Amino acid sequence: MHLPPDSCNLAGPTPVIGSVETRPAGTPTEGSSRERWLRERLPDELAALQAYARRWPRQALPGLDPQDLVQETMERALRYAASLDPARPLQPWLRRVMLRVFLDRRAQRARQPEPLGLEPAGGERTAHEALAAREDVQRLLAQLEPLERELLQAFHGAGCSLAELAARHELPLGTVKSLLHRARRKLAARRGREERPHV
Amino acid sequence: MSELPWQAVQRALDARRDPLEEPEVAEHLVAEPEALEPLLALLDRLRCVAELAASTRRADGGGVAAGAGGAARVGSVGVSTASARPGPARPRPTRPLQLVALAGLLAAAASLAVLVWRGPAVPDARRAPSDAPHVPTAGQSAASGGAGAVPGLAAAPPPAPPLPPQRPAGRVHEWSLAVHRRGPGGSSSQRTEARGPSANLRTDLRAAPTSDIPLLAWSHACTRTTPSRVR
Repeated sequence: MHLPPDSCNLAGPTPVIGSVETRPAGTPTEGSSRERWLRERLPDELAALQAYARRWPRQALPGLDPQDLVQETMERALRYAASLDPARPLQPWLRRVMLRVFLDRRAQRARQPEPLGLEPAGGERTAHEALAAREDVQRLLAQLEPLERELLQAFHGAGCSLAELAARHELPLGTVKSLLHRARRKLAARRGREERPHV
Repeated sequence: MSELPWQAVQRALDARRDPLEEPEVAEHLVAEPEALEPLLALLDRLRCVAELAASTRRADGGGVAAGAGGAARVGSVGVSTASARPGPARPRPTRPLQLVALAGLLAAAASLAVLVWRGPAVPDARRAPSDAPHVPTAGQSAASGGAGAVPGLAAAPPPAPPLPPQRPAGRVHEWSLAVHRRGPGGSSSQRTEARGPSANLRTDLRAAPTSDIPLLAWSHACTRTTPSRVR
């Protein structure tokens, strides 16, 4: 359900979901006053918050609409109004709340089992796309230096620690770290599908 | 657009933490949400690296960690398994020798089943002569002009001797003696002389050749023990 800016009813009762209540005990009056203050200020911040939500990359959270992100951010901001400092600007605080919403949704999605259906649900990657991503990674790994590739695979694939890798390759720990960092940067910088040779 | 704080990202990855949870990275993402894209791409690729290594370990049946400095074994996807930790136990693959032994056992069982079902293969010695396939001789073929006639084939083999008569029921000893006495060149007088055992086994044994002694003894035994059936 989207939350249109003009029909945003912020004067209603604040929903309390579950047992999550972060108001400091003994200061209900202060929390209520902050919540009331936030309700008065939120309509003014809504347009900027929506524009900020549209800047988030779509593939960051497939299936999550920017309007949904804004709505959930405002709901969570009202719930945690007690942690708001009225002396500081409101927009950075709302953006941090949005980042928190995004991270929680991402963690929640990572815990969910992958659907077995042929059609992806809610913007999920199809099996074909997942296979293509794997092929890209294989090709990118082949472009790395042999030692960089081995360190990367041993650390992220086999779960070896940095100390184990340093002992195995008889290298200083700092060298192992710098090789690993370089391999990660190469893996992040090189684009996969664009470099695929045309057959 | 400023670049991601890669040092913070690398520190988080070295410590196996989520880089998005790093305060420095989070602050940067609050200011520049577009910087999330390369970071998520890196995290996706690192997850693919882990999945590839896991699939390689599964294909190897749970690799065993090699010693320090051991030679790296590189699989078909370029994933080293030298440092793979012991994975879940999988059944060992079937070897060719086991397959051969299994095939041999199955063949033996099938042969035994066929033997039980059909009975042992005993040659039918009492098959009538008419059952045998007719092979025309050279002379017959030439005379009859049959399909098997071979002109100019002069050396015709002698005709096969006739088979002994069918064994009559109830006259075992007479039939046996007659057959035995009437060999090639045997005369009718010999056959008459050998017809049936006399009452005195000793006389018969004295008159019979050595080769007939077991047959005579058997014949007398049949006469004594089953007179109603033999006589």
